[in-house]
Amino acid sequence: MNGKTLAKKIRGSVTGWLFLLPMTFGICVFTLLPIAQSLWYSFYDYDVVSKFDFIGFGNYLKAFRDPVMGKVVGNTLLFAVVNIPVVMVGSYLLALLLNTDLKGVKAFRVIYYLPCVMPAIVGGIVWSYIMRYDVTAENPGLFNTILLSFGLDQLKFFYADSSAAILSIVFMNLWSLGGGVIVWLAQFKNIPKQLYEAASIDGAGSVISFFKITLPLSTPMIFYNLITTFIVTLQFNGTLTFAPNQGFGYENSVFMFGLKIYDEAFRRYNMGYACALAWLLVAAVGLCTIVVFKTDKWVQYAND
Amino acid sequence: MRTIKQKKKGRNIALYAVFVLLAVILLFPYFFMINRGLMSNEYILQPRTRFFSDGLHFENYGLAFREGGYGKPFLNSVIVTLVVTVSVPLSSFLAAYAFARLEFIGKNFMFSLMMVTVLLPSIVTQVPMYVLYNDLGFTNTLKPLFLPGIFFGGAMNIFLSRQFLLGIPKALEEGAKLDGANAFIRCFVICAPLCFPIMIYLGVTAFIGAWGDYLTPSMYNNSSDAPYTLAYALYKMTSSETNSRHPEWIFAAATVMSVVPTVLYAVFQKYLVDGIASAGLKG
Repeated sequence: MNGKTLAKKIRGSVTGWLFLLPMTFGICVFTLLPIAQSLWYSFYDYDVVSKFDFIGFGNYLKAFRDPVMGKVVGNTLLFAVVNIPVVMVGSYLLALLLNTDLKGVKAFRVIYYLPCVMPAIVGGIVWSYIMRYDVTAENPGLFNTILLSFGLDQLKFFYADSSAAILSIVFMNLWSLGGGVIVWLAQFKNIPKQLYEAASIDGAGSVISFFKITLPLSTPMIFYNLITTFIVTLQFNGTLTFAPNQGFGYENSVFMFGLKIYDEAFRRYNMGYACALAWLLVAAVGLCTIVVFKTDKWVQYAND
Repeated sequence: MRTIKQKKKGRNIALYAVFVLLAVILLFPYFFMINRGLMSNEYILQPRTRFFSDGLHFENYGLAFREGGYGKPFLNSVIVTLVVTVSVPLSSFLAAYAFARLEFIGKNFMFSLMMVTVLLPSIVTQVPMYVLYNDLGFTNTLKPLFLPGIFFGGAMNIFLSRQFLLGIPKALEEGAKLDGANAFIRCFVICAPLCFPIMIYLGVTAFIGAWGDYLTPSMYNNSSDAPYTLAYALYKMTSSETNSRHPEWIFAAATVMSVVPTVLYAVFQKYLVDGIASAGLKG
């Protein structure tokens, strides 16, 4: 490299780094530094105001002794195990249904996505009124008014003190099923038309071409969606917007891990403990992601 | 032949019926919300749900914002979303231009570093961010709601803008380069307008995200004299005494709250759908 190109390269680097300056500052201050601090705080008993005592792995051990933790982890796992398949299969089926060139189908796609642009807090308010349960049956929500008018018993939904409360959150989530549809449809569009033509010449019906073409060729997308949905689901703290008892539900019936971290950090100011819990979550998510990646034999990549 | 055609027609009608039924079910919560926002106070306090049977009380909207305490939060939300809607596309595009068009030492490293941040759950950084904002005196101000976006618009946003830029021929910039236009001018005067589909996607998603965000304010902006945003005011109001006396106000405010993103989505849905699809496929 002669002097001229080196000078050019350095000059270019100055311009390049000038462009990256805001992003670099942002990543350092809003991502890298907080990550390091979070790990550091997780070894301290820290309440922002006065306490800042080193306690080693105390916070991590506390997580395993915390009496509410069994319930929290159980709820989170139940929610993940039910919610992820329901949302993924549901949105996939909806996308299959919408994958036609019928007139006006575009308008329906737009409508089905609408709940996803609705602010979460609004959805929470509306659904908590629709699904409200009233012990005295004097002021029930819409669903229970309908049930009562047929002479049936009220359903408790997320006012239940059992795991049924979690299931009613999954039911509520069906409303925003259209969110996944856009990506599925884009994936379907990427499947070469010739494959279907060839299949139909060979006499394959629509059911066979679905199982032999559409489904196998959507597996990379299914894989990607599985991982992203999984990460989001484990962090879910949306019960804040609709569940009774500050998002815990009765008898902690909808108390999940995301809310546990939020509660320790921003209601009790147990900052060290909250950081330790966050890192435990990261470890769990990382571990599960690795397991999913290791078992990706069912994914058919295009170049295989 | 005719039977196949008839069969197809029958199937199409059935499909339409399913589509319409689903649409009605999915739109019902909107209908329910609008209805409750237009009910008179007397009716809404009665347990029975009625639909538009006591006239349309549009005055609820004015009352909610004047007396229900949603006026100031509305203005705060406007300020925050304006800043975010402008700054996130600009800061993302600036970084994307460097990754797509400029050659510099450390580029690949920075690109990988940026992409790694996608994997990090935001839950990890929340506590240190609170401590930082608290030290800087930014808690209970609007600053934590728009500050990060001014510098770092998000890895996925930068990545998508970069992909979009890579699809635009470099030749378009050559002429300007010969005329002595520097990289900054080429980035914002020549390339940014050509990338408007992705810029609109970034702006609208940033708006929708900030507009509906109740969680960030609940962490950094939550004392009783803090400048609430509309989303957070609604969140606080659900458990308030005002709400039990005037539930119609919360529904009127919720209606306003959801009309704004709905209109944006309706107007820009083509760009949004393209953006979401490529975010999903390329990620």
